[in-house]
Amino acid sequence: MTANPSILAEALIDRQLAGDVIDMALSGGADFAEIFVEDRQTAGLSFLDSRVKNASSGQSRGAGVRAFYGTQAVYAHTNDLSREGLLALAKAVSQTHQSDLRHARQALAEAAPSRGLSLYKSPFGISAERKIALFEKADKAARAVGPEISQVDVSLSEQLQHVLIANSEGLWATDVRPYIRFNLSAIATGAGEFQTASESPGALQGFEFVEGLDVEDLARRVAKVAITMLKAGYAPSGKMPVVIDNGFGGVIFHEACGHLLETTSVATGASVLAGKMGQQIAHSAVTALDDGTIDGAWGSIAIDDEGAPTQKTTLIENGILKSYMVDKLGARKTGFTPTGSGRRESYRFAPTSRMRNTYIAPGQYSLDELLASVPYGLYAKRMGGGSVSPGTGDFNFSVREAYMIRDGKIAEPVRGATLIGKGADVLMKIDMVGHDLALAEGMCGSISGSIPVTVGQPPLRVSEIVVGGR
Amino acid sequence: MNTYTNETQGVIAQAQRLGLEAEVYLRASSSTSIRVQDGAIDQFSLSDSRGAGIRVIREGRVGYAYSEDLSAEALLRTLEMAAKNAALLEAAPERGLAEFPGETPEMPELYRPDLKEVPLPRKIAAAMELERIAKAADPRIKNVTSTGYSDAHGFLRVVSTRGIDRMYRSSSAWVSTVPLVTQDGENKTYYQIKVTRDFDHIDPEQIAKEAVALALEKLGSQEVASGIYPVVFDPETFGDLISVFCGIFSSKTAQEGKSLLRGKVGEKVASSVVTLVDDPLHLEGWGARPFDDEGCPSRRVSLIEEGVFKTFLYNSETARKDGVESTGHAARGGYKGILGVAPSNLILVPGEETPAQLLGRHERTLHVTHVTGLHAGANAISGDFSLQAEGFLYENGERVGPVHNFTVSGNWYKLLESVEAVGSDVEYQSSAVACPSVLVKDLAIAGK
Repeated sequence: MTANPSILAEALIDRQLAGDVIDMALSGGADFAEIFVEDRQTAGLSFLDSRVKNASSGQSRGAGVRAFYGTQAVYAHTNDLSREGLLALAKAVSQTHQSDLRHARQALAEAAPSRGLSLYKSPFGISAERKIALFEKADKAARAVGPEISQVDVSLSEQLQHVLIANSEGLWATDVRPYIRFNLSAIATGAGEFQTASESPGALQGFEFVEGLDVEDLARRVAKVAITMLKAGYAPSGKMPVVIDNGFGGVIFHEACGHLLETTSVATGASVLAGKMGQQIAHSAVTALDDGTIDGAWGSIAIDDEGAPTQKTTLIENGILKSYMVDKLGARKTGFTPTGSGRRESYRFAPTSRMRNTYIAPGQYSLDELLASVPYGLYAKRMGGGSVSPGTGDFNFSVREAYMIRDGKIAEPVRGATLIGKGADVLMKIDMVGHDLALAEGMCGSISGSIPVTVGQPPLRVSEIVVGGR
Repeated sequence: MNTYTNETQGVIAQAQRLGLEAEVYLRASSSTSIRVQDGAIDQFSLSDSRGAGIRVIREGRVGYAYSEDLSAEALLRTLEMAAKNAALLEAAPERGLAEFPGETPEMPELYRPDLKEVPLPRKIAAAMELERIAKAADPRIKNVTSTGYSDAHGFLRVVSTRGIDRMYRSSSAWVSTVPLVTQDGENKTYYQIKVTRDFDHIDPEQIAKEAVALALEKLGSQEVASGIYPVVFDPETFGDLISVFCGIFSSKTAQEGKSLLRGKVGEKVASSVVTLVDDPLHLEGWGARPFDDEGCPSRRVSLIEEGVFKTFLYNSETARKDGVESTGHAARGGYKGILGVAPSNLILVPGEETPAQLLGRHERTLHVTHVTGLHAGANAISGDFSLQAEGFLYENGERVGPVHNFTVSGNWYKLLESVEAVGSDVEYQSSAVACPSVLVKDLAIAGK
């Protein structure tokens, strides 16, 4: 690793300065203070019209200081990492409250062993030529699927995030997080219409992740979906059973339930799942986890953005609510123990409770068995994104690739379907769960910004849901 | 606030020594944000951030790099990084910087230095009052969340080796609240946000009461039967749709083969009641600015006149490729971004009829007042949308009641052709789209 200049040899700030900043932040009577320092290097290369379209790179660097006064939080951030800059920031945080109370600070611990980067091939270390060769292969493969493919976008984005977290409880923690994501989207054109399809695999890994991908196969699959959807009619409307396939299908759980289990919405009572601990909130076929420990997965973290070790958290077991996702402030507000779920996009955001790799555990059925159980319904092979209103539990998400199910078999492709409903209802209606679990990568947006997460599930059946077609 | 004159000039001088064309796009802003819950400050945030994006053109190749460290040394390293990135591209004749001669308009109204002088306790009091009034407004209030006050001020500076050095400052303040009302086990929320440049325009009582009233009127929602309905979109909702699909007017999107308007300048693409303009000089809009992200002076542009497509929006690069002038719509989306195209203030020109008249035109009409899931349920390239919606059912101009749990589906390109009437009730919402109510003939509704 020493040959790679992008790996920082030194801590982002020294221990003395971190301690002084925490002291300053405590000086208004706060009972907890924390500093989060981040350096993030990014590089992006994109390919369009069968040639390199853009190359960009850059570096972000900043710090955020947070103080708690009971359950009130104050947060401030800056790009100025000088001693003066950081102390001024901490002073601003302390000045929001005036109290003669002084809470003592614990001495900062010796560095905990960080997982470091040795597990991974260094990001940024790969020549542009190799990346471009990969793009060319993928582009050719997608275009070769059919003359309908009129445009192919391919891109690679790489990030290397260094974080340092220190707090008044004596925490001193660092982590290095390499992120890589390969994106491919294709447009199929015909009869004055466009249809698009895309895939974006990613990992908390280095370039070895992309080397392990069969980009030509991925490109062909994407192009086929775009062409299939071009020839598809519109999905019908109304309530019907839906079989949602594995992988990104897990977005249903992420939206319909995951967000409602974050203390961010539980603490204010805004979540319809607040106060339901130990109760049955889902069909007994449903067991769900939020797991930050999966090695190299896009949503994994060694430590969260509050410095707590990550966990594998069982959220729902056989339909019974077992745990919320809890960050430090959420723990103060709700009394639940933190689950290593405090995450943020960057130093610009105060952390809050967020998901990591969230999935429904495998059940007993094959996809064919699930399909065979449905005389008439929708097979949602590939989901798009979605959103949920925590107060009402109303959610919606789009289906990118869908087929009708007729007499238990996959029939004609349909486009433009949206699944809508209420989280609490749909959880009770997931009545058959398959055995073939898969995860898929996405970005999740919430009050602490946009962060990498994975969603996942085996194929499953929802006995009835509103399909919005036309 | 430091405006980094020496540092940016250092980059320009170095670029000239190296024989490069270069542009520095520099943004800085500071903001204050207060969120209150149950009569106490829940979250208080202060920020101070800045960054610069450097665009380099070398022999027809363009490269980008950015840095949040704005020291002279860091910016020179960033210049070098951008030049290295440029070497990865093939040369293209449209790449290059432009000079944009002529004056940029003066728009001093965009910046209110007195916003900074408003004492913090007054800002906190505004948020507290908003929450207090909302909570007390009705016994059916279950909870009020996300109540807060925020303001931000900052500047954009664009400096290039072509002699451009332009800067403007801007500021704004906004408040939000989300009342949650409940009745017979049914929960409804309304997300209220108001943006202003003038602190004294924040009226907590009016904002809270309006939010609560809009949440309450959703109670008792029924499911609506699936079918084809005439739909009246309220201004905010139609504005949201315009925002999602405005990429079809981008020359960059078109040149990449992603807009179906490509090759249709001069053709009828919308109903003749549709006239759409983009006006960066319109001060009431949140996209108002004296120049675009390349420093090109702002001007008003007609996109659709009585249904006829007039022009795409251009930056200097896409304009050079099509052999036209830039319309002044370069957009970087921040210093980390690359040169793109975006509208500033889109204005759908109002018609003659009031919303009540639009709602009374047909025997049965769906008034759509909110759609969610725009990032997932709307495909900006194909134009297809299928969105979760809520609103009210009308029969012969009379409101039957609130409706929910349905989707409204269609295709944006086809929707433009089937606009039956545009209302007279134009106003800027909290976005940069000014839009009246819009009646669309036939849209697919999926409900019960």
